[in-house]
Amino acid sequence: MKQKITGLLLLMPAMLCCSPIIFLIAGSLMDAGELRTCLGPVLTGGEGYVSWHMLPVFPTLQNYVELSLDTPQFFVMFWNSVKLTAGVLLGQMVVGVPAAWGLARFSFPLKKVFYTLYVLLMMMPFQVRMLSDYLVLDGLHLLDTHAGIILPAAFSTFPVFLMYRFFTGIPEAVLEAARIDGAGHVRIFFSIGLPLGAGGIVSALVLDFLEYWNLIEQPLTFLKDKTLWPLSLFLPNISMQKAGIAFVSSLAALVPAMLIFLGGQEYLEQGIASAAVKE
Amino acid sequence: MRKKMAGMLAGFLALMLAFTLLSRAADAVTIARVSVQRAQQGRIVHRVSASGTVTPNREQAVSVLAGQTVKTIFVEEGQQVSAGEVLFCIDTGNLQEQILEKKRELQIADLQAKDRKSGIEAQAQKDAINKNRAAEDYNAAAGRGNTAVGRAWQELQAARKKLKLLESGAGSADAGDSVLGVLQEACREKQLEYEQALAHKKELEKLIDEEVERALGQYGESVSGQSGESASARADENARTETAMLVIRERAAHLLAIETETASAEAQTETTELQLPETLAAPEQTQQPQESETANTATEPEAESSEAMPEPAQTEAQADQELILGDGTEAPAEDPYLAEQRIRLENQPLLEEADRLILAKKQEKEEADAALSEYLAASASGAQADAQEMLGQIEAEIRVKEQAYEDALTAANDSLRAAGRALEDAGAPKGSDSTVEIDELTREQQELQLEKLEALLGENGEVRSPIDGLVTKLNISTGERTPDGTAVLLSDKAAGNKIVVQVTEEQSRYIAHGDEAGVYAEGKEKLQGLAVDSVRAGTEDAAMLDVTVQLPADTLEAGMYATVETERRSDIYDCCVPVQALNEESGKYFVYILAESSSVLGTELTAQRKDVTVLDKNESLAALEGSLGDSRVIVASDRLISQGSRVRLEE
Repeated sequence: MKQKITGLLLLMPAMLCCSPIIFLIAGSLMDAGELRTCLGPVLTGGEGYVSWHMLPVFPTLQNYVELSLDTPQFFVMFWNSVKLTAGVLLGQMVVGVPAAWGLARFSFPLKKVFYTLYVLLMMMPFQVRMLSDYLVLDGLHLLDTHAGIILPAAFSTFPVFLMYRFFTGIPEAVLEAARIDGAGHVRIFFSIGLPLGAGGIVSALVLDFLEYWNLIEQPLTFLKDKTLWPLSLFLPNISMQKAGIAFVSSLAALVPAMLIFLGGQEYLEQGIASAAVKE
Repeated sequence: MRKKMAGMLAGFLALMLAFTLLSRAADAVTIARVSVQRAQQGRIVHRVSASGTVTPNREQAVSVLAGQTVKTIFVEEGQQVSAGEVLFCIDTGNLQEQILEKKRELQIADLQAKDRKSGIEAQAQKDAINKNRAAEDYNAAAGRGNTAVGRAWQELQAARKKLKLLESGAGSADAGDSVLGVLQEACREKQLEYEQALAHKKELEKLIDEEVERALGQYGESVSGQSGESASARADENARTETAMLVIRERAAHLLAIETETASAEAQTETTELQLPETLAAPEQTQQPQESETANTATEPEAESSEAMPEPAQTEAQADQELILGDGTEAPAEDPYLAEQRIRLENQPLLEEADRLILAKKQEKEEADAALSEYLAASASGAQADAQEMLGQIEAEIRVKEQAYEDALTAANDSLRAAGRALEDAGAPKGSDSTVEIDELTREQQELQLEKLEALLGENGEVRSPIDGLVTKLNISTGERTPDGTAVLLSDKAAGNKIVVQVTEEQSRYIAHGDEAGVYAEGKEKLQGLAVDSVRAGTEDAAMLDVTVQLPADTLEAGMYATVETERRSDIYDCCVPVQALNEESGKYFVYILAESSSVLGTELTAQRKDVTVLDKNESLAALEGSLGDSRVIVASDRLISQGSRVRLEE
């Protein structure tokens, strides 16, 4: 009984937290007139205050149809986001995983200095690096290309830091046994390191997916060609006449992130816990 | 769980891929496909093309009198004929019948014209007689009026004289003898005048009888054919008759003059005693001016009544008499009974006047005798009334006489006015009568028709072409009657042909006299280098204009359907676009030019509106003011486009 009361008490804040999603679903089912009535004061500068209905007065799927059939721009941006995110994650797999393995399992001079530099760079926000990134990309003629977004993200330090923690957790005895059995460094990395550090790798990829799926600053800064823009820049270009489409597109953007999150939820928790443990 | 999520993610991505394809397909369907063209230099060529029928420049109508029977037709429409060639033939049998009929009609018309002429002359004579009778009636009325007024005046004066004698002799001893003398003298005068009036009437009747006998004698002579009497003898007879009538009139006038003179002399002595009412003269002024002198005699008996009245009356009467007698001398002899009736009727007013005079004199005589008898009776009985009482009776008698005089004056004026109006009516102008002239014209027309018929018969009924030309219309059929108008219409070959086409007012702006024109007809070689002869307001349709082009000889025949083409080139314009690119809104022209814009879907083409001013245009090109530079102008679109519409170039 006590647990039920506690559950009910916790359900209310949970519903409160989910209210934006509920609003989003309700808005996607409203027609243009109802949306104008509810959002008019904000989007058109009219008098009064914004109102909202938990359930649409005149529910319709018109917005879904319009987004699916009459808005090719949305799909261009959707696939741009897929391309950017996939590229970044692939780059991090190729670059970040070996880097984390090297830092975790090898001893070499200035190792601590490199690690400290990784952590330091991880702490620096994009706004600080924006100018230097721009100059470098310009020098490499990577401005206004997807490579200009993917390459800097592929060498991001945060997944290295996250995976480093998992790799260091592998017992040395396991690695020693492999060596005695005649395994080389590559064999040990692919056969011992990757399977045992899979939780860290997945959690790093899930976190990075969520980050790069919603990327805004970098595309806005480095991409002038609108055909290269990701989905995160679609919503700011939505007007009052297409408010319904904005709700549907938000839901559509939410679906992959939600699926990735649910699929990697277990590893994500491990990764977050791992990142939180002090060395 | 992880696999399930991965599967769902894969499914979601597949779904998005499918919708990507669908949305692009839908976009490709809805976007407008356009054709573009850049503005370029060029000339605006205005071509005017219109079709019409070739017509001859000059036509000649061949016609014959209407109603002829067509025996044979030798030509047909569109056939070339030469001058003198027989066109058709008329049935001569029917022609001869018509000639005979025309001649009969001419004879009948002559007779009718003669009758009408005679009737008009007879009517003129009747009008003259009526006018003369009206004049006689007027004179008679004047005479009667004067007589009645004079008699009333005389009686009034007699009463006054009687009063004066009584007043002057009232105190004297021999007053009774004086009165007796006056009364006896008056009786003698009245007796004398009465006898004169009787003698006058007898003489008048005698003269009328003589006139009747003379008229009967003339009739007898004309009937027996013994009209060999010389003109001088007849003139002598007429002169004798006129003299007799003059005597009648003079005597009548003399009797009236005596009566009026007596009244006038007495009136001169009594003018101070009685002022005649001036109002009686006023009605006379409304009568005819030429009769005013005569009319004055009725209103002013004291002013030369003995001369003024008889002389005009005599003059008029003499003229009338001459007219009446003239009938007997100049006109052919008439029926004796009618002649006698006419003469007696014409002179009836004179007899009536004489009767009235006799009656008046008789009445005056009886009144005088009565006064004398009354006086003698009073003297014999010794019971002579008191002088004062006698005086009162006479004064009462004077008032009665004065009233009678005024009545007579009014009655005379009324009868005179009525007679004057009758005279005016008789002299009223008659409307013109052109019957004789019309008969003459009708006869000339019939003669002309007869001449034509005879001429046609002389040609054996053959009608020939007067010119070399083309038969353009046939209004006759074999066996039918010829129409009232053109039988055969010929186009004059020597005058050539022309083509007349109709163009709109808009088209007429680009065509003018002297412009080069081409004419072509189906199956014929196109005629180049011709010139527009005229551009005029349309005869059939006021909204259209007629364009005429003269054709060379022996090219197109009349009646052919052909097309005229003209062309006018403008100066070179720097900016010309296809006219399809022009759009119009509220009377303003604009074009859509192609613009590129960057969007999520890449570089997109959109339509941008640009207002322009059209300098000139024809069916294919429009010249614009200014320049559009290197812009691509949308000239065609498979969908309706507007400002900012996304478009796709047609491959």
